[in-house]
Amino acid sequence: MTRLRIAIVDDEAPARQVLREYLSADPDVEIVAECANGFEAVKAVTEVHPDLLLLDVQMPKLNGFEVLQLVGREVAVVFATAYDEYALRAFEVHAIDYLLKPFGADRLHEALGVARKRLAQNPGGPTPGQLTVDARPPGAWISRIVIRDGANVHVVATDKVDYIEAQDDYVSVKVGDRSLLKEQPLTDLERQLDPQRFVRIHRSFLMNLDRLARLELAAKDSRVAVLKDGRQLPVSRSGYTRLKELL
Amino acid sequence: MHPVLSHPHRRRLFIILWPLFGAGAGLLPFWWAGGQLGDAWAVALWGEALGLPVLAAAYVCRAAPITTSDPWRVLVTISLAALITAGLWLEAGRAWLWLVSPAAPSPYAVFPTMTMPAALGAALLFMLASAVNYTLTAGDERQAVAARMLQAEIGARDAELRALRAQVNPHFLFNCLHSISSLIGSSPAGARQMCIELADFFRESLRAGAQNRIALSSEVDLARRYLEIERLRFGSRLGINFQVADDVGDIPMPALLLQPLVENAVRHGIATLVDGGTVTLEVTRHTGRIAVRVENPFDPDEERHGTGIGLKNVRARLETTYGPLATLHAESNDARFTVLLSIPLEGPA
Repeated sequence: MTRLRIAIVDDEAPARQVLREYLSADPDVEIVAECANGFEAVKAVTEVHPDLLLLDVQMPKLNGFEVLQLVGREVAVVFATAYDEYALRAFEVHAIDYLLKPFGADRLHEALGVARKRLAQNPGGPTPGQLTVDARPPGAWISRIVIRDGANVHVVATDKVDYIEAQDDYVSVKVGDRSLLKEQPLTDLERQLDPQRFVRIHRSFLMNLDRLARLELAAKDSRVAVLKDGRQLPVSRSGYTRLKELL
Repeated sequence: MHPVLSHPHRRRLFIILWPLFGAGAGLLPFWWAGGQLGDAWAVALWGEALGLPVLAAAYVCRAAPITTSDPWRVLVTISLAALITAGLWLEAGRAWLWLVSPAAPSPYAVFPTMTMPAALGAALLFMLASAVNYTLTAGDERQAVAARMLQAEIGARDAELRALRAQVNPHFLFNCLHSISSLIGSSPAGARQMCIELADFFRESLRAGAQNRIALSSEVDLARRYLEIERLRFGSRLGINFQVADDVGDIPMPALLLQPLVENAVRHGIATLVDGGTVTLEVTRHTGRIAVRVENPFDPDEERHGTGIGLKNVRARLETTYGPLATLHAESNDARFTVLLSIPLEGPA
C-alpha cells in the first residue's frame, strides 16, 4: 500500500499540532505540507500534490469551502471544524468526512480509512462531474469570487466585478482592465451571485447592474448594454426581459 | 383611572359611607337652623348630591399632583375648587328647596340661616375628599413604580442570562477543548494550565452574570482572561493591548459588557487575518462618564462579517440598564473596527 500523502490546513497551531501527533502514529501516512491558511493550501496542492487535505473551515482569506472549490478536483478532502452547521454542506460538496473538533485519533483514522478506500476506487480524486461545488454559505449570496491562477489565488469582491463572460468551460471575470479565468460554468456562478445585482443579459454575459449606464437599440429588436466605462455588451431578448424586471 | 371608582373595593366602601356624609352635609346645617324634622328628606337628598363634586375632586387632584406641583399651587387649586363646589351646591340647593317648598316648606324658609354652615361643610368635605385622593394616588403610584422596577429587574436578569448564554459560545468551548487535547500530547503542563484558565474564566463569568453590577476592574479582568485563552489558540497572531485609566477600577458597571466586545474583536477581526493583529481595549474617564474603546483590525474582504448578535446583545443590556444615558457606537473604516461605549458614572461599587 502506498503511503497516503496528507496536507494539514488549519490556522490554529494547536489544531495542526494535534493532527500531526495523531498522524505520527500511522506509518502509512506522510505529512507533505502544513498550511496556516487557504492560500497556502492551494499552493501546497499545486506544488506537492497531496492525496488528502485535512481542512479547517473557518480560516482567514479563504475558508475551507473556497479552498475545496479551487482544488477539489485534484485532492480528496476531510473537513475538521468546531462548527457542526457546515456538515450538511460538506457532504454536498463531496467531502470524504467531517470531523468535529475536538476529535480523537480513532475518529481521524476512521476518516483516513474511508479516504484510502475512496482514493483506491477513484485514484484521480473526485471526477469533475461529481463536483458542483457551492462555496456559498446557506441562504446567502457570495460576496467574493475566488479564482485560482496556478499556485496563486485571486479573491475578488463581487462589487468590483464589471461583468462575467462565458468562454467554453470557463468564465472570464472582468474587473476593470483585468480578466480572470475561472474553470466554472457561467450558470453555476450565476446561481451563487445575488440576482438583484448580477443579471444574465445574454447566454454568455452576466452583468453587474451597478455598471450599466444605458441601454441602446442596436437594430430592430436587438439591444446593447453600455457600461459606465463605455464597454458594450450584447443583450438577448430574454436578457432584456430580465433587465426590465429589475429596472 | 379614578382612585376610588376604578377599584371595586374602594367603590364599595364609598357607596356604604357616602350616604352618611351626604345626609350629614344637608341635615346638620338644617337642624342648626331649626328646620322641621318632617322635611328632612328634601335636605338629605340635597346633601347626597354633593357626592358628585366630591368624586370629581380626583380630577382636580390630578390637575395639581402633590408630588410635582408647588405646595401653594395645590393649596390654591384645592381651596378654589372647594369654594366653587360649595357655591354651586348652595345655588343648586336653593333652587331644589324652592321647587319642593310646596311639599316641604321649612327648608326653603330657613335656607338663608343655614347657608354659612352648609357652605363650610361642603368645602370641608371637598377638601377631605382631596386629601383622601392624594393619599390613595400616592400609594398607587408607589406600587406602580415598584412594579415597574421589578419588571426592569426581570428584564435585566433575562438579558444577563441571554448574554451569558451567548457568551458561553459553544464553538469557543469546542475549539478550546481541541487545543487542550492537542496540548495533552505536546505539553501536559500547558494543557493543565489551559484547563485551569478555562475553568477560571467560566467561573468568573458565571459569578459576574449573577450580579447586577461589578467593578470595572473585574470586567476588564474577565475580558483579559478571555483573550489570554484565545491567545493559546491563535499564538502570536493575537496581540492584546489594554489601556485602563488608574482611577476607574472601583467604578460599578453592568456585568459582561466588555467580554462580548473583545470576543467579537477576535472572531470577526483577528481570526480573519493571516497575520492576525492586536485587540485594543481602552478605558478612560470623562466628567460623569466612562468611555470604553475596543478596536481591532479586520479583513474587509472577509465574508465572515459578524451577524451583529454580540453587539445587539450589548446594546440591549445598555438600554435596560441606562435607557438613553448610555451610547454604543460601532464603526469600521480602513480595515479597522472600533466600538465606542459610553456609560454614565455611578457611585463606587
